[in-house]
Amino acid sequence: MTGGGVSGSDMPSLPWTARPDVSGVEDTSVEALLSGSGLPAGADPELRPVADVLAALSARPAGDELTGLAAARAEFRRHVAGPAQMRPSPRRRPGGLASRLGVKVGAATALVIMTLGGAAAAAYAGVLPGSWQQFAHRTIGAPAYRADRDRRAGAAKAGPAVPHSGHPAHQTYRSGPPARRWSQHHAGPPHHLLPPAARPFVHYTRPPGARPVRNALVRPARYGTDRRPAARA
Amino acid sequence: MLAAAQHGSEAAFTRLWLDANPALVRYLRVIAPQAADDAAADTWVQVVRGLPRFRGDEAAWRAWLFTTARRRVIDASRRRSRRREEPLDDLPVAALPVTADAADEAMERLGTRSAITLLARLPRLQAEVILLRVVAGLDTDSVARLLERSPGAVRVAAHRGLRRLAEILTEAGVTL
Repeated sequence: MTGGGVSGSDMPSLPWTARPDVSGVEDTSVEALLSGSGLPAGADPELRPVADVLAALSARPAGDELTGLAAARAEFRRHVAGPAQMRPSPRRRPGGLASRLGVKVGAATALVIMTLGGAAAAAYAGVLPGSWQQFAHRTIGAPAYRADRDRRAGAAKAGPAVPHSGHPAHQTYRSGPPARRWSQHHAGPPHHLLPPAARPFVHYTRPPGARPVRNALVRPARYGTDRRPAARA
Repeated sequence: MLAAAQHGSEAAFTRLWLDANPALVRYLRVIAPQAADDAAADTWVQVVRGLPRFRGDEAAWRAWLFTTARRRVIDASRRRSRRREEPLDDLPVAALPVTADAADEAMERLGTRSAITLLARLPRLQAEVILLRVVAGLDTDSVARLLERSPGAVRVAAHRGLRRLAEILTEAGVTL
């Protein structure tokens, strides 16, 4: 406070006013008494009886201070010891890491089995992609890849098939091997660029006297109709 | 020992109880003299139920034990106040009538009971600070947290309590 044009000598010299009720006892003596280390040498003799009182407070327990142990132990058995025995501690659990690894390995094995099983089922149903279906055909004897399945799927997306028009691109269900039929079907410009009369279509015909094919992949009723849609008439 | 008790060792819990209960009862005999034993039993029930979930060392556990005890006493006092019953033990420690010869009796035999009787003549905060420091063995910061006071206030209360205790002993004519 020497700034602001006021010299230090102008400031009143106030004595440090200690708390009158606290100043009588030194901090070191109080701390020594409270921490139980005894009264230090040179301490105020007035504190000697106080030290004795505090020592009496920390004396050995009397008999009436030890009642209630049975009730506390019963409560401990009910809430801590009992549940602790129910759950195995990590030390008692044999092969805890191994069991945890076993669970993981088991889960992975189950996942692999389910994946392979699903793939095998799909292969036998013939719904795998081409190369996969062929691989399944060679390895586990699943049905061979049927190209017409994809073709029919594409036709189903493009709309209803038009009836037989006598166009050279017209094919029958049993004309040639699948690969040949696939190449014929996809030869030339894209279908949507052709005039309607020149668009190829799939027309499944059944030879006279032949039994209908019981195959989920063949749906003659849908693709073998001669009805022309009303919009295209 | 605390960890073993938390894992279900009854022997470890017994050792904890034998170590802590006398101090707990002495503390309760000052802040709730008429209900100290019941308050101690209630405190142990609550502490035992929370023991598996407690996290901390034994010093922290000891502070938790005394915090629980203090709250049990306060809750019990509030319940009795709501019922408009005013038993003698609801009154502050400092307001309790003290026999004139309490200090003399304490001087005759400075047993633990007498020391507790002497300490009960102090104002509540001063008596609690001295008991929690000396009997419970807590440091100033722990006592401050327990009593929800500042560490400085705890130190001042300790100073005043010891000085008042010395005055009581002097008034009784004790010079050892």
